[in-house]
Amino acid sequence: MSVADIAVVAGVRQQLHRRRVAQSTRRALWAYLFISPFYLSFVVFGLFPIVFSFYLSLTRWTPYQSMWIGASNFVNLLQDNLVHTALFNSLWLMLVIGVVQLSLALLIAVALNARRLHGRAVFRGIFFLPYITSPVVLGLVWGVIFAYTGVFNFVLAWLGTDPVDWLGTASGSGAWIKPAVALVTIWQYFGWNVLLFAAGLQAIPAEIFEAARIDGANDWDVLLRITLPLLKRVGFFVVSITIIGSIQLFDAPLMLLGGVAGAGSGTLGGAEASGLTLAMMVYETAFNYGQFGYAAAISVLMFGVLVLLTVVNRRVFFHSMEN
Amino acid sequence: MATLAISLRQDPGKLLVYALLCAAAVTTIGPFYWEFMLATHATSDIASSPPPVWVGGALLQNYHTLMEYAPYFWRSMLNSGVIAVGSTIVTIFFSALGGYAFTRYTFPGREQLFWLLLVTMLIPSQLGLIPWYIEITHLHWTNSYLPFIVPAVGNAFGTFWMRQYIASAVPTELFDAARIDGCGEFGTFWRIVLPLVAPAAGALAITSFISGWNSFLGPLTIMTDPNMYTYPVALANLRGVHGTDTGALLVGASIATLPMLLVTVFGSRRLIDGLTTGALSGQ
Repeated sequence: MSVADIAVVAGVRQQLHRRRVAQSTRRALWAYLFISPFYLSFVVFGLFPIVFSFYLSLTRWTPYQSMWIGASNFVNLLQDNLVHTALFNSLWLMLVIGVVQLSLALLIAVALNARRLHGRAVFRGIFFLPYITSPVVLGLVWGVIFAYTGVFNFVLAWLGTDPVDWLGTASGSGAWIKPAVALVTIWQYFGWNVLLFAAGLQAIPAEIFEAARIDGANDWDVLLRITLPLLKRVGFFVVSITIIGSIQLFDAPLMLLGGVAGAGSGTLGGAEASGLTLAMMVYETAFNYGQFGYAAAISVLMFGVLVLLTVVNRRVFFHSMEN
Repeated sequence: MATLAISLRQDPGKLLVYALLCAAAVTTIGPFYWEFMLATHATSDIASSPPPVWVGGALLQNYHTLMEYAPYFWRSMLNSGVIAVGSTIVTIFFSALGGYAFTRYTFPGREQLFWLLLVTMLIPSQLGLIPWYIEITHLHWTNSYLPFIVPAVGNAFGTFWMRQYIASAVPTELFDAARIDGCGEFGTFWRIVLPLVAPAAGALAITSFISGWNSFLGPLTIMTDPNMYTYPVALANLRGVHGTDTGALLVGASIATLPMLLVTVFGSRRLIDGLTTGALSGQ
């Protein structure tokens, strides 16, 4: 090869390389163009509101003025009895809903996965229905069922028990409000959890169960040593959505306890604020009392609780079991 | 029925299984029955003892009361429908587009951007409610559909779900073939990818339709004009006013429940499979 030939080859190679670079740059630009709407929208409507929450929580913000007040909102938050009540209510509901819902859902999912079951599709359809129904509608319907003269108390009377003041409207005591809210929420989401667990069970290969049986494992061993450990990922997911869902509980308790008509009169959470959740308090503080900064501070508190519980949840599921 | 009897005889444990499932099913159905049944009774009868257990004759009366107290009720159903359909179309299109970009191209920052997408799936939007509200009022989007349709462009779960589907179900050879046939970058997406993602789009469409149809907290803060209420906002505002006409409220609730009932009856098995797989794939 002559020097001239080498130069030509190098030139061609360089040209090819340049074209390839140009092409991949061009295609990268297309890719950025295609994903930019997502990130733009996410920054504007997802990220910005969350970040701005932190700023707002350090201000006294009304629709007409904003003033930097440092940590005052958080100092007030620590001393605000209503916040304590709402935090307690939210955590109480989360715990009760989580424990009852998970154990019930797991039990029913195992039943739903029984071999040669008749009417499986019908059961699945039924369990699915409450999940896609508006919580506003369900809160309203359950409000009628739980009414002091409603059908629930009628059945209790028929069974020989005293009527229970579920919604605290007859006695002014909120003792039964939280159980009522928990019951409605469990009722709404339990079916969806059943379907998730059932999908998780389906994913376990049948050979594993057969092998265990051949090795002489009984039902109990199979459940504890095979089924539950293999459902770990689904379990983690279900606990996560339960935590996220219960910290945001709003529609159903609101409707159960009287709709938006009670907002602004300090009666939003029912008798003794027993049904007041953190999300309801954010709503009322901002939209009925116009204290946006304080409401943002409560949101930040919710965010903190959520992050903390998510970390704990992850540890419980993925640390303890590996050891 | 005969096969059921035989299988029960062979395995008595099955009886417990059926008992559990039937108890759960009856408990689930009960309140829906109560909702529809009581919608046909006058408010004064609803609270009577013993409570009514069968269909009554006050349905039309209740309906008229509903129309009188909430003349905007059908309008609110329409509003929920517009939000549901609008946000679903936007979600499908932009989720598929983003998912296509993530699978088709390699570009600097791809892994980091995808990681960011996964993280955003974990943040509940309700936590940003207050600033979101301020933002929307500054955009002058109050009493408008826009705040519930435009943000669907940034559906993190949808984009993730589409990316997974395209990566597993659309062979890369197709992209090259499309290029040779003279399809542009967007043409490949529009003519090749979009028709192919229909199965994944189905499950995604149902989830975003349902959340749009049921949207409540956002519209409750943004929609001040009763003609722009979504149906849950209309129902929530009706509760507690006019001494609460329970019969009328339940008629409204029943009408709003019907579409979901139809989804369940006709959407059946594939829908549930799609949704559970979709939900669990995020793990």
